[in-house]
Amino acid sequence: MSNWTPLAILGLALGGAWAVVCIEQAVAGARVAPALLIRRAAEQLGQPLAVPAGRDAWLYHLAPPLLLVAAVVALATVPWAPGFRGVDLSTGAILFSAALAYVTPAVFMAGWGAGGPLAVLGGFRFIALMLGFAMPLAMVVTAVAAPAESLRPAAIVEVQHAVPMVVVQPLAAALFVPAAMAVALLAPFDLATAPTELGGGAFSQYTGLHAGLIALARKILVLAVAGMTAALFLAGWQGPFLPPAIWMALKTGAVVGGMLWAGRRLPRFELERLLTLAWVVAIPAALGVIVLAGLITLLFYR
Amino acid sequence: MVVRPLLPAILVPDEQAWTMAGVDVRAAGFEAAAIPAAASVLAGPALIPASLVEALRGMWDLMGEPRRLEVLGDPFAAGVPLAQVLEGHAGMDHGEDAGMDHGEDAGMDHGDMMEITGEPSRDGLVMEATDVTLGPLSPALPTGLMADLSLDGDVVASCRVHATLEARRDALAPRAWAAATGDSVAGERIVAVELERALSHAAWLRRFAQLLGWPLLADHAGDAVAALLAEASESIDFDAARLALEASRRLVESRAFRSRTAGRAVIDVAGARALGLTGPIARACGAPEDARCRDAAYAELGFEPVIREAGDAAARAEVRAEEAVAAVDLAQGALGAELPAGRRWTVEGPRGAICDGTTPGAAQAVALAGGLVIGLEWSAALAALASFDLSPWKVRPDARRGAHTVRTSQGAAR
Repeated sequence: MSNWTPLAILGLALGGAWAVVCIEQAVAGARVAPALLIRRAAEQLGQPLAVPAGRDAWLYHLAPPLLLVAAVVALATVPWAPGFRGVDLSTGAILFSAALAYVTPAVFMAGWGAGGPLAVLGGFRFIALMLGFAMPLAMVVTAVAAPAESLRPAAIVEVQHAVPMVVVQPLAAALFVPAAMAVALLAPFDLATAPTELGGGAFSQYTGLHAGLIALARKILVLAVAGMTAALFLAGWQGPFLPPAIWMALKTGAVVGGMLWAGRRLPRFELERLLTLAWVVAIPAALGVIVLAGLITLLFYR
Repeated sequence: MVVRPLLPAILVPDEQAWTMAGVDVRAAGFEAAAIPAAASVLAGPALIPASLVEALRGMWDLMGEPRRLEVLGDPFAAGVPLAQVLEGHAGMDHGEDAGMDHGEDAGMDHGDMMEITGEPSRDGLVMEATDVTLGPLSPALPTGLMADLSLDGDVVASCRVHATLEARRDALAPRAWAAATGDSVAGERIVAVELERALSHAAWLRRFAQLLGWPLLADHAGDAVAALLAEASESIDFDAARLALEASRRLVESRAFRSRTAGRAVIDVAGARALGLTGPIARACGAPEDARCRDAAYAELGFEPVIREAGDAAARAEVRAEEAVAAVDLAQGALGAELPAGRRWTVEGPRGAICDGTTPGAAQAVALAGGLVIGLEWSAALAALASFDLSPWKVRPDARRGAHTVRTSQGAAR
């Protein structure tokens, strides 16, 4: 980590958010010009704060920055290239899960702070969802770290030099991707912010600067989970011919596109069904994944 | 097809209402925004019914600066000028009247909003009751329709639906109403009514897909709407419309769709008969209620009513999806065909019979719908409500006399 790291992460966050918007529009058949959306968000960032009346003002004001901080910290833990790893901690994979854990209070604070029944309902939905999905997410991260014998994301990328982790541990990938999409508030897991159903849910009451910050934070969040998916399962920056950073960008872009494409192909899940899936299928399966990861490590990585 | 950028906008009334008024909002460059804050434009009519004014101001507040108003045309025959409504409104204070934003009582304190009911819900927990008012500008309901709900956790404990717009005829089915009150050639009448049925069902399906959060289905239904929204019946691309409607129909019959709709808000055939329900709602529970069965011109075209037995939300959607495809075939068959004439005063509109200037069964459906979603979780309840395709238009009591006058004057002229 050098003095330039914060600046580099900021640039990555802004550039990445732009790229996510472009991919989103391409997946949706380019119905909306990315420039228009970016301009809307940029205009909103210049607006004064709207003061909520009769609401929990502190929670209401704090939620958007908290969401942004959580997203940027999660992004900073993603290993982008051998020379650029953002925050390169020996426990980076755990920091990633920990940063994502702060998305839950941010969304709930937004919903509760706004105080409208549908916003509160959105907040509660997200807590219920994350109680079920945060655990498989963290468990899968440890399972993927086992072969590398390190929680340093860069080490996990390096251990995939021969075979990408998605081939070695496909079940882990199958659990990680939906959980990551749920944390990133992506369809079909976007129960907390369901546009028509809850009219925007937890974030429905925000305007101006708040709305701009949330829009930005959500794009960075998508970038972070997609980047980590590429690093943990698709061998990150490793690949023939092209420079490492290009490989990582291509893989991350493909994961973003895949996640958004899947979101358009499926109707939004209902909460009950999703919670059943999380508690009855995903959590036991994640425990199984950890056991499998131990066996795989002992048999093939020693 | 040329893909051009669309601007996220708040559409007042909703896209379905614009579609049925013959206005293609996408061709005008707008797309319904996911949330008000994402929209910088409010695309609305020149005149707005007084009952929508307060909700509209709340919506305008929720958009936040910068924002502008764009007048698209006018699906409403009467009302207050929209520009005036928004001009006199300060906005941005986010205070008391922002509570009307999605029609939620958001401006109220938590203390007012939630109270402990002390009654255990179905999972045995004591829950806080929450009152939610949806509409008349809720994205989850047709513009003008309102629902007063009481929630027990996220389960609907009570629900009452009512229509707030009034007119002599239902603005969501203008061509069927014109056919019911006018005196047109059988062929032309069938083309107009059937194309309107296909358009109405496709526009409803797109809206329903948006509610389910399913862009794939919304895109297919939207393609059908675009194909059917031609200036003249002759210039309609029937093949494109049929292709898109067939694709929509396959998705409606898919497991993913049924997982959100099957077994929800069930009406049995005896109940439907007792209430005098008509249209797809009645046909979805096995009652062969269709005014077209008694029309010689339709018999010539080989018409068969679409019937389902289940009576649930899935069956209602299936009936509409299949009827839309059949309607395109009927319209194409009737185009330029020699059909037996005959004065028919009962026309089967997209939502049911239109008879003597009234819509039998429509008010009953509105009254019935709320009660059927009790006990459903929020998203299931909204999907079940939407499956009725209720019209926000109350046909005025004096409409009967109005229609009668038209009829006798034409009779005298002949």
